[in-house]
Amino acid sequence: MSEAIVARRGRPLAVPAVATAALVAAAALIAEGDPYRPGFFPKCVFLQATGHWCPGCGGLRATYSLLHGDFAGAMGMNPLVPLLVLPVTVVGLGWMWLGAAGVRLPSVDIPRWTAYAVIGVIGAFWVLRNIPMFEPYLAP
Amino acid sequence: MTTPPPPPPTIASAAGPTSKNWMGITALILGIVGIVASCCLGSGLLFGAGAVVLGVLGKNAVKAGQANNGGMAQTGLILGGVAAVLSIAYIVFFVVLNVANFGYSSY
Repeated sequence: MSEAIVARRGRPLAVPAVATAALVAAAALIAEGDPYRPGFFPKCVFLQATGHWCPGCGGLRATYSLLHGDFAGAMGMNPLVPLLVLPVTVVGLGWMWLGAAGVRLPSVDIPRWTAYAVIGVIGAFWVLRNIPMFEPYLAP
Repeated sequence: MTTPPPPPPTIASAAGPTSKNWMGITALILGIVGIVASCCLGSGLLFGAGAVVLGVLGKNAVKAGQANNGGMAQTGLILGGVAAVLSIAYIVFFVVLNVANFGYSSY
């Protein structure tokens, strides 16, 4: 038992700190840069080259909307950001901070097919948002 | 959910069976952020590379009995690899498109 406490004490705070700092820096750049304003961020080359949306199109605008408290606006731009990236980031970062702070957390693992499921969802999203019927809901 | 045996005390006394679970968790976050960001200027390359590195480290930590979330590490590794490949393709595409544009544009 004392060994577990030593392990917890010895766990570096640097990891969650660096991860949080990197994400805050990226968020600040997006919030200040304002992706709704044309010209600051370069345009998506997939969109330019093919005229079709890529799965990340609207992602910066969705992040900007989320940072300004506009959840509906974010959903309208790119639902992957509020529905996938936001929860994973919040839960994951929270988990890391709690662990680093010494809170006892249950061991959680996920099966590796999650990776293929995520890739499948993003692939399906890519196709669907380019189909005119779904475009009002899924395209920016 | 079986706990792997604790490492021999001679190697690392401060390494519990979950002490390196943060590697798998971080790999997973980086992998998912990376795969969405890979078509934002190829910035997914940074996240993806981090996810691959931490995924490999996380899997090694599982083998060494210092972590028990191998699935998470593996998931981060796969997503990070895909994000990195997509990002590199994006960057190559971006460069080719711009060079091609400069080639025939009037300015």
